Amino acid sequence: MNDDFETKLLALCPRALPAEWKAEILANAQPPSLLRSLAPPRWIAWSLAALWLTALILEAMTPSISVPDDLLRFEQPLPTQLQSRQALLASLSVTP
Amino acid sequence: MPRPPSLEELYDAHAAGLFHYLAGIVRSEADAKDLLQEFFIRLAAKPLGADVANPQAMVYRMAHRQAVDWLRKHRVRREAETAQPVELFAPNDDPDTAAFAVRLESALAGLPVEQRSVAQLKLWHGLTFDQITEAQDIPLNTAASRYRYALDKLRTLLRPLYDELQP
Repeated sequence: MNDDFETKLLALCPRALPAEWKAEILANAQPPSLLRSLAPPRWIAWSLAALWLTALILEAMTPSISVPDDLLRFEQPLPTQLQSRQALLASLSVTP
Repeated sequence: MPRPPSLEELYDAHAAGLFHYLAGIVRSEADAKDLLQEFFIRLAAKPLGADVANPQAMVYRMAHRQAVDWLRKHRVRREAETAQPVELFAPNDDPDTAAFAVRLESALAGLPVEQRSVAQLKLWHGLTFDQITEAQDIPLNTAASRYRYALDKLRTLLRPLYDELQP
């Protein structure tokens, strides 16, 4: 049974919430969007990331086939060198 | 089979009460609002089942756990108990009742959080002692004694004003 004091306390009402809170709170609380729900589960995403990282590390650790620079470079004599070479050949070809 | 309540229905039924309860525990409007937001985020992620026997006790149980976690995390339990009173009650046109409400908020702020929270649930949220034991995970005797201590302290603190306001 309530005494007078308790009745006085019971007569007070908790304050109402601002009306704008409802839209704000419910909007923030909405379940995840369709796009997010289509994403793979977290454990699959982490497994894929780990696999990709492992592949990267293995790739970095594998020695690559080295090709000597000489084979890659096609040297062409410069015009000045060509001229001096031709001059030398010409001088050598001159028979006394 | 009954359908589970929607988020909006739960908001309409419990948000004001939950805010009042949370603000009474954490003693801060901003933190109580954050906790209320977090509460509905959790509820959206894991809705109440249609088979929940007592949705009111269940929502207060969830909110109580959140508030206790918050107090533990922020390590402000002692500070929270001595913090400034929060505006918990609706404005009242009657100046005597308004003055009484202000003094009551101040008196509530002076109570230990365990007693204050039980008093709030019993007085202003309409929970029975059985529901309070479910919400706070405490024995029935503990709930009843906390309520009694809280009421005695409030009565002592507010007696002068209460006697003055008596017709």
